Amino acid sequence: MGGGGDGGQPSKMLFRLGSKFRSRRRDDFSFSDDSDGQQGTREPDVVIRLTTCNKSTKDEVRYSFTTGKYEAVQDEDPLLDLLTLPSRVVHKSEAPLSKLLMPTLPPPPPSPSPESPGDSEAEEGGGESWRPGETGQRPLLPRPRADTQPNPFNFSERVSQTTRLTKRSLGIQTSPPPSTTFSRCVGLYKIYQAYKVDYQKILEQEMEMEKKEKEKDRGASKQKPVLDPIVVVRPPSPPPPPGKLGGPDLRLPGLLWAARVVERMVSQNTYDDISQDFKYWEDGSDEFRHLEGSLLPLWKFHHDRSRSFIVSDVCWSPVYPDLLAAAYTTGDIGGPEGAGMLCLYTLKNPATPERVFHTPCGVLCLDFHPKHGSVVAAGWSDGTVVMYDMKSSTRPIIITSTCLNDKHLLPVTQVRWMETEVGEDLCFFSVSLDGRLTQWTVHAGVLQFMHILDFNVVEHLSGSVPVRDKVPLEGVATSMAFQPDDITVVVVGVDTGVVFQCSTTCPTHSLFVYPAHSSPVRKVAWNTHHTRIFLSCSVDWTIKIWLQHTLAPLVVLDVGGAVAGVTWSPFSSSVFVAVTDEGRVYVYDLFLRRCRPLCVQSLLQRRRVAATSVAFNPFHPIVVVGGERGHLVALKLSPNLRKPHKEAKGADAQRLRELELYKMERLIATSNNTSG
Amino acid sequence: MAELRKQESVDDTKKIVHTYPLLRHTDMTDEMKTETMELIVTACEKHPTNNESAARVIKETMDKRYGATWHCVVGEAFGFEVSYEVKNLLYMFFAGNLAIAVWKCC
Repeated sequence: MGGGGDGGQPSKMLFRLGSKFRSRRRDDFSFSDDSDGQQGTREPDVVIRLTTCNKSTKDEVRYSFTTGKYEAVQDEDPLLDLLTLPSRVVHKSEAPLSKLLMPTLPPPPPSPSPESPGDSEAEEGGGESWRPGETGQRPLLPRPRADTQPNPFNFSERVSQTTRLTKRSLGIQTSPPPSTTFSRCVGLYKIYQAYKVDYQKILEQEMEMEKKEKEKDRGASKQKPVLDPIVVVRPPSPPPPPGKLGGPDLRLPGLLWAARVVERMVSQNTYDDISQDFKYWEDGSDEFRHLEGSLLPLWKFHHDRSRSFIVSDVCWSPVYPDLLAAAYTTGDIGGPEGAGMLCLYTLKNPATPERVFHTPCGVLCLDFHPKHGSVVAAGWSDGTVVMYDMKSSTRPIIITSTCLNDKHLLPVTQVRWMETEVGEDLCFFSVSLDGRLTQWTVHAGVLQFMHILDFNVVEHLSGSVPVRDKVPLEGVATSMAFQPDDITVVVVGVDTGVVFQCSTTCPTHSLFVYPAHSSPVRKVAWNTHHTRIFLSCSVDWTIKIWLQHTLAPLVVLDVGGAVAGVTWSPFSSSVFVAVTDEGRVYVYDLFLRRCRPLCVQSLLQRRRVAATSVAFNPFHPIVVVGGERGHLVALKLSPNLRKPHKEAKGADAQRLRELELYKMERLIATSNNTSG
Repeated sequence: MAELRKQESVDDTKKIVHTYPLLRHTDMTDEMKTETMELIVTACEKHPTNNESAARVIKETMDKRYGATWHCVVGEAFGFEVSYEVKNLLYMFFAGNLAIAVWKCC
């Protein structure tokens, strides 16, 4: 509060309480003794007096611990100077003195010391130059004014300065990138020498590389025989308990099937180009060759040890277009020793067989059931005949003929299924080197036999008139074929070279004899379309086409080697395929060119591998040929070899059949003419 | 290294002329080295008769690619001693008779 301070007269102030205060905070402002707190009563005005004379402390005493007495409290100045501002107001009478004005700094803020009431008077007023060091003792000089002119407006300046960023310059020199010196001298001779040395090094490196490659080749071939005995000797590890080892648990329901599908996919991808060839590739050169064609090798089928086996028989499934069965045997066809194998391959997964059956002795022949796609009959080299039902991969049904069953004693050379009605027991025929043709019936899980023909019985009907039409069966049967439309008629080839036409009703005698060959007959086969024509092939290098009940063959074909197998084609009545022991495949079309084959092809270019069996796929123009050393290859016929008849375009089934028959009839007619 | 190799038989003596670039000394990074060598080979093949223009092409391309100042010498017989910035020097032979030195300094 400006002005006061000289300890003079007390100033009075009236402090009137407003009614609003009263209503709100009655407890705080309880200046009135109104304890009942009635609202609305006007309380008496409270007079607050501010005086400097401190009445309360006049008689105040305080106990002092030092002296141990009560002592009077010194009268302290209750007045504190909190703020002193230099005033710019100048009294009128003192105006002329303003000319003595000197620029002044504001005096230092007064130190709040209560002991200098007198100094406060001197401090205010300002206007004196302040010298550092002085603490406030000022000579009483006439006060120069800050302003020359009176301040008409109560105007004061207030200036302040924000913090200024001080600038500082800093210079730096980075170290230069490191550098070194380099010196050389070069001339033509130096360049030449450098190149020479370098070239030598390159030559040496190449020599080393070649040496390493040679060693690798040699090393690889040496290693193989070393590894194999190790594999064989080690006993098979027991199957890991499921779930314990890290491998997949094959008992998981979908896993096997999924694995099969994936394997097929991978296999098909691997052999994709072969599949494309099988489907779409046609030999373009056939257009330039008038009649001849070629065989395109497609897949090669093998199983892990099939190289040590001979493929004795192959057969396509009549139900599934891609399924084929191969019978493997070791060594000679007559020997019962040695292991054998029966494998089912599918074209959809050429890498591995679908089913593999290891047999204690070689499998010599097999046949698919015409209706049941999973049923296969096989004949073993120890005379056993076996029926496999391979529908389930884990539990195939195998029914074998045992000694009690009166099985064959010598190797079985051929088995053939018989067409049966639905509901009847399956039955098949087998012929073996012990001279018997037996019919087996699958009944209640057991094979029941019935002898049909017996070649060993040479009965001389003593005294009776020799029956004119019947000829006793002699020799050992090596192959048989049932007439397609008459199941009782069977044509049997014998190792003496004779072909007997027998009836299943007469066990000892044959109805007709064809003096076919001079060496064992390897195969006989009926024509697929014309049911009175069949062919026989033999070791004496010939294939002969016969018409039933004629003594002379229709066609005699001389093939350059012992014929191992022959098969008619299912799509044409005049086309058949033969394979020889020299590893050559012959394709004949009797209608187009009777004397010479349309195609002669070797199985393998470099080596000679004997072919042992051939089978025609009933659905596709493929032939599978089996040979020794496990050689099993599928061949595709080129377009020339499967040319349909000119009139066959757009013809219906009936017409096609007529065409086929016509072909054969023409063959018969022409051959009859030539033979006279 | 065995990209280009030509064998010529001159008269009786077999003179093997090598045309591949042969690196003699470098402390460049591998990537820089290969690029520089390719550039040098291209430039020298482009100007087989004129060493100066080959050197010019090399020096200007190096300046553009790797910055600052490059120096290049192309010749058949010379001696040199240079100060160069570390990791920026290449010294090689080419085509059986050319020596090229390229370095960066200041």
